[in-house]
Amino acid sequence: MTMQTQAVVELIDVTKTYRLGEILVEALRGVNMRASGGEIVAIMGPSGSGKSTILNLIGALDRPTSGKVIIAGKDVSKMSENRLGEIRRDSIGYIFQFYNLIPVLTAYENVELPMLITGVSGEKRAARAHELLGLVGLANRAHHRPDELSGGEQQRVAVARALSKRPPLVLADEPTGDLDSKSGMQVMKILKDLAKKELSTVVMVTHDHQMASLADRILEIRDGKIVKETEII
Amino acid sequence: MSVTGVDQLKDFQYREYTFEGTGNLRRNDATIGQKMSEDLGIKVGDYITIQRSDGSTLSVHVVGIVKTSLETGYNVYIDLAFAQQKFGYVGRVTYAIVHVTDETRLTEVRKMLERNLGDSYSIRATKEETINFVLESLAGWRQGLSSISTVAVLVSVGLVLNTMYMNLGERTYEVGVLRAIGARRRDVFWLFFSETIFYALIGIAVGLAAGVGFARIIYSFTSVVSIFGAESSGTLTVRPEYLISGATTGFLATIVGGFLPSLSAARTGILSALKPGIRPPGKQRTAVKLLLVGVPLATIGGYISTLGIEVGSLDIALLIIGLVMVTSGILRVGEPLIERMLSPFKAVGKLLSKNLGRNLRRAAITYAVIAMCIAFLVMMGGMRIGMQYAVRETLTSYFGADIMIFAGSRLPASFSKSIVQVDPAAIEAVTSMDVTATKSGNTQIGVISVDPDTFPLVFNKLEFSEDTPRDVYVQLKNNLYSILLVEPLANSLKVKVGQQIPVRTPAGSVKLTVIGVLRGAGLSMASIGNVRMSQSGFVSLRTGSTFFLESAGVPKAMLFYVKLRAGSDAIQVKNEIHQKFGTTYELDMITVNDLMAEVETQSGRFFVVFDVIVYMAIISATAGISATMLMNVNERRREIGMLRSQGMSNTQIFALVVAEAVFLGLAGYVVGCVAGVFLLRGVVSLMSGMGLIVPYIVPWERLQFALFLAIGISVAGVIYPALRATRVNLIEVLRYRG
Repeated sequence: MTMQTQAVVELIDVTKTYRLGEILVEALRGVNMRASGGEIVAIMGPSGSGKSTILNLIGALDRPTSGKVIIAGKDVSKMSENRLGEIRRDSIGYIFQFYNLIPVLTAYENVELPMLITGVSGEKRAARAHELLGLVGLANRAHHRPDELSGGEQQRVAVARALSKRPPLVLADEPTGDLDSKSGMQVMKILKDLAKKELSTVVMVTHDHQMASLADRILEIRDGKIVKETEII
Repeated sequence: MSVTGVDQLKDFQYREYTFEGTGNLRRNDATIGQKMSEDLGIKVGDYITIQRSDGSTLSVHVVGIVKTSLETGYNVYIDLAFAQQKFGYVGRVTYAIVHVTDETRLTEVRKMLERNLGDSYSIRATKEETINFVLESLAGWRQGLSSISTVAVLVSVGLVLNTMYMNLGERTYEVGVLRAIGARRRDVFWLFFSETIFYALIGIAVGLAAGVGFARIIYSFTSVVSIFGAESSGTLTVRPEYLISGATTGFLATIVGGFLPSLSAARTGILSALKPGIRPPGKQRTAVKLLLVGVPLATIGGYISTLGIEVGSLDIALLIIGLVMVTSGILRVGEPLIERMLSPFKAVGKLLSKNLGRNLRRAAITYAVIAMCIAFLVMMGGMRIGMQYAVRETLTSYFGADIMIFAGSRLPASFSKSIVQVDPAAIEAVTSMDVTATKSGNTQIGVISVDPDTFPLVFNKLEFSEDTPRDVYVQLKNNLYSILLVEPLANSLKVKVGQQIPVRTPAGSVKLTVIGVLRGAGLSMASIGNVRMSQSGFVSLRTGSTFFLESAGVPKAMLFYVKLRAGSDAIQVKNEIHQKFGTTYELDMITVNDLMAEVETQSGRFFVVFDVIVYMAIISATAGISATMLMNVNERRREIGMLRSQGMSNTQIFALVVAEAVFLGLAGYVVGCVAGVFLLRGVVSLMSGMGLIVPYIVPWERLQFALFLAIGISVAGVIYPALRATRVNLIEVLRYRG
């Protein structure tokens, strides 16, 4: 089913090798994957298996040693740092394990920030930020700073921020890793609902099977290779 | 030309001279001054003829030329016994020089000599007077430097505080681990505090070495001291007490700065240290509190600084602390306004407006470092302009003379009329003047004899006190017992118009009536020979020749001031006078423009010392900005990573960091300008209180220059941290919480 729609992200024979002192570490060894619009993909695997490396490549934070990384139809494998910045700005939203909100900005301002960077006009920014904060249930906490919000609330702000510029691709790195299971589940449901509503593709790295079960597909990775792919029906 | 008999064995001053040829004098030998040698082309081995008062001549063999730049006029030195014999003064001397080995007892020795020798001898402790004059002249500067030093110490405390808090921030997890494995609070305290002490010791060693090095650099500008009429003693002495006080201050500043962070480290909870998520947010000082404390502090400090009293730098410390608090408060309270102002810069503007009020303590240290630099620059600029203005006023307005002529020996005062005749079309007036150093009671004063008819024609812009009568010059001319005092002297003698003062004369003493008081900044800056104008009184030439010359008779003068008609060429007239009288009389002539250039060169050398201090302060401020911004960048690495992940470009990140530093620089500029203007006012009042009147002139050009400097310091200091910010490894900083 997923093969029939346009791929938002595609990895073709991707390898990634790091140098740690004298030792070469093969983090990815010929990975192939694709995710379509509106699809939620969970990547699971033990520590050091390469799942975060995949996320970094898809997120245009890093370049592969070989192979192709295609995001929203553009091959980013050999793009300059500036072009990668443009891809991140226009096509990707991020959700981090530790929220990474700007502490001096309020929840509203944090959600507004990516739109400020992309140059969205003031009125549109305000409408979108208020809409998203309402959708994540934080309309009444809009003018609180991160240190005045709980972990779950902060992560909901991060979800709203990731979706604020309507990116085709949202990347989530252990989005519930720092939350209790109740808050984690709440955040995951919000993320899923919003992604489906906005037709954003979500690629998520997680250790938590319960959270992974909310995805459309689960990719299991070991020693730098995708070893299993499970579709959740 | 003056002939001096010297006692070659005991005259320590002569023995200290450096000679081309030799300084050893046998009968018929002479040494001459460099100026005489250069002007008249006399070399070692030549013979010169000296004309004695009875008309007979004495031929002497030049064996040496004295190498000194301080000499004025033409000087010939011959053996004392030979001089006494040949000039008819056997067994007599004009003056004796006493060398006091312990300089701290100069005053005591002078008083003892005065007591034992009585009034028949004029005893002058030239060195003591010079030292006192230099100390008085430098009192304001010392106050300014002391204020800057106090602020520098406060800033150092702040820098230590910042660094140690940052250190603690980076090592909170380590503190948690230490506490978890059994370290007590006091162990943690001493871990941090002993580090502080260690830094203090290193800082003291480096600081003392740098301080001595800096003193050497300053000392290398020894020539500047000569503007006060004295040369340096030739060796640099670093007194142990200065080293001890420097080391103590540095040590105290460091441990005061390190105490609170060490205490905070000891109070860190184990769980909050190990799990960052539950760390309580830091306390935020409110803008209102900052303004409520800052405004009164700045007001009190500013008010005290205008009083011109020495309060151990308390005024400027209060002023700068208050201003820094006010600026911090304004930055916080004004955040919405700043945000609106910066809104065209979108995300960069938004983040900048938030970051400015973010870490007030750290930002405040940065303003203070820049403010210190700017305040000093403004104060120095003001002093420079004020002093130059005063000198220019002295030379142009007060003196009103275009050419000054110094005769090698006293000439009849009527010589002024002969000078007018040289070029009546160009010369408007010439006035003659003579100067004698004497005493009134125990106060050293100068008596300046002037021609009351021509003096006001040349010195036509002098200002008088309100109680000075309009016909003051008529009184000066008609009343042999009248004197016109300069205001600082009138103040120090505590006399007013109409009162009498006793003035010592070669024959004893004479009581002169004060007929007026002269005012003006310019007068306090001037000296005639070794007589300071600010400590002088004006009498008529008749009074001078009657009471103050060894042999009374026709009024005589050594100085002749020429005022030219508008449009006349001073150099041409000077050459005409030289042609007419240069071969007959020994005349030194200088035009006002030459003198101005000389004074500006001298004062420029003097200010070079302070420029060096400013440059050092600039380097410190640049390092301060760099350290602060590096701390900010290190602390915000994850934020920077997040911003980059949202698509912010490296250029935008660079601009964000640079703009923050520039804003801090601008805040420092504002604080520094206000503090500098008050500091200048304080120094000027203090100096005026001590008789050295410098007008208070706000150095607008310096304020403009300081703006560029503040921005320059900020940009220079922030380049490295800004580059670091652009090199943040996104993957590393985004994934982990540290």
